[in-house]
Amino acid sequence: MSAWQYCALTDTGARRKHNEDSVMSAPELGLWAVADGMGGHEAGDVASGMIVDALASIKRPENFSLFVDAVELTLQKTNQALRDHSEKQYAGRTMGSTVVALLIADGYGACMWAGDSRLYRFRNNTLEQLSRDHSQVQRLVDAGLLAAEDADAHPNANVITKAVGGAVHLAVDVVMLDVQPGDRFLLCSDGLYNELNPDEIAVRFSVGAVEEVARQLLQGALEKGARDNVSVIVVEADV
Amino acid sequence: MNVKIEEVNAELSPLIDSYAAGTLAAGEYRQRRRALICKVSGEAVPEVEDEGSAECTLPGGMAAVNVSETPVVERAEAGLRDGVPEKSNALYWFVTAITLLVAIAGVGGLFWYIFR
Repeated sequence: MSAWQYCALTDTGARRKHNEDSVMSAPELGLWAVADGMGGHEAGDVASGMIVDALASIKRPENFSLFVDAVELTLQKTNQALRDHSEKQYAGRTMGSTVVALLIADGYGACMWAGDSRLYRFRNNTLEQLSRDHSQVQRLVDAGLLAAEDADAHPNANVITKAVGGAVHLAVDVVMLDVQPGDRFLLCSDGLYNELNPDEIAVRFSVGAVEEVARQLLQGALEKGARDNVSVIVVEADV
Repeated sequence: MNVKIEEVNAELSPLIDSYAAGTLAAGEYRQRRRALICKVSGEAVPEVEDEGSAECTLPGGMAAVNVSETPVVERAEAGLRDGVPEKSNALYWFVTAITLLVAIAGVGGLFWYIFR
């Protein structure tokens, strides 16, 4: 398997009291994930923490398609566990978390997600969003009712339509991707891209090693006011 | 992204939509997804006995949630975790007991005053 350089950072931000985000790096599996919890107070922390803990315990099968199965089943089991936990601890109130996961093998990989945490790929000085938000705003964009550039300013920009723990049935989205030498990947919570637009994110990818990129991204969000928790994982594949 | 991956993703998307809508069972969905993924990985499609999870054909998405508005849970949690109801009950019984004691002492005092 290839070697990976990566850096994962998470920060409470400037306005929130708690950090409900969780990050997970398992280079030995070729698996990274960002989860953005919701539910308020400790509920969000618990939700995102349960997701990354469950993902970290996966044993990677040889076959990549079975690896995708394993991640999906883990998220579905966590979905049920969160709903059970919510019923017991929070009188059935909403408790869940978005998640975006990057699975990498030699020369290819997969992105799996639920909610509005994102995966970007930076290749040839171009930033490309590989995941598609599960959000009301994205639905409007897909339907041609809203311009993509107006999406972030929309009043319903924070309304998501899918999350782990959000419904009995969880269908995790999957896209396949190819991995080329020099490709860099960014997994992030909405706390990052709500503060930095794609151009502002892209310019920070040229600053140096992955640690420096991750630090610059986090710092950029903090300098812009960081209204939410901010999490970033930058991964570079040495294929 | 090369053509092969674009083609695979173009086939994956409606497959996931069918599964999410509940029109495709989990076992069949995963089998077809494995076949598509193996087109990219070049691996042999694995033969898997799918356990068929209970939720596999249950449709129904999540109600939209505004992730910036979640104080309700904090209130619920405060009530359940901080034990506020238990504290209120204890206070109620304490005040009741004190009131009864004062009342009994008052009645006793009254009888003593009358019949002494």
